[in-house]
Amino acid sequence: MAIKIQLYGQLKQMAGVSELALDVKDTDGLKKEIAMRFPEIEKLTYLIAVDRTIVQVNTPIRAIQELALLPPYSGG
Amino acid sequence: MKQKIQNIFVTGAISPSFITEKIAAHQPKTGIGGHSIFLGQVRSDIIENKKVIAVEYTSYEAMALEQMDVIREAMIEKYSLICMHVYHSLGKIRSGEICLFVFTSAPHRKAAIDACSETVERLKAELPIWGKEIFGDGSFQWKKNLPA
Repeated sequence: MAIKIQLYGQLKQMAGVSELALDVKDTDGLKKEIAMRFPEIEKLTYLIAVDRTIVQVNTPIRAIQELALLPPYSGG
Repeated sequence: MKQKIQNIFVTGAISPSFITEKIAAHQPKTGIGGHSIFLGQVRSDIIENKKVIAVEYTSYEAMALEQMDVIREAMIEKYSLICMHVYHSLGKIRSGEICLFVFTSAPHRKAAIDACSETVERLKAELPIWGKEIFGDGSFQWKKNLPA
């Protein structure tokens, strides 16, 4: 089942869209899919947020969750 | 009872009159003995002979507001603040304009100053906000935050 993934900052610019729909089951699967589709994004550092919380270890993803890829922050 | 999550985002630059209004609004809070204010201003860096004329800010707003709420609760608790306000610009802010306003108030100066400083550091590190530096010729690069 396709999961919606929000893209921000430089990642949004590189992908050319603000949202992707990918068929992934967990965050490791998401990273692989991103690496395959967007090799230029894979070269950057980014964080994955699941339901607005950064996840550092592989985490299962359900369709109802809010997924986002976040490049390094530069606010302020 | 926990207050509802406060919005910190302002579209466009933060005006000096907005800042003075916020200061004036604290007059009735007579338990306050010290305010500390940090104002972030868009700097016109020269990068490879090109001058930054503006920074365009975007955010993952829902997450940023939740994260800011966590920081706010921690700062109020740690420094026994009477109140604390944070405003961050979104959109294109020209060099020389104010893009960040952090305002902490406490019974005594040290708590207000330390809380203000820690809030600025934490929000730069923890809030999902991105700045795109725009040059005079229309080209751009993504801003990178440097240590203090």
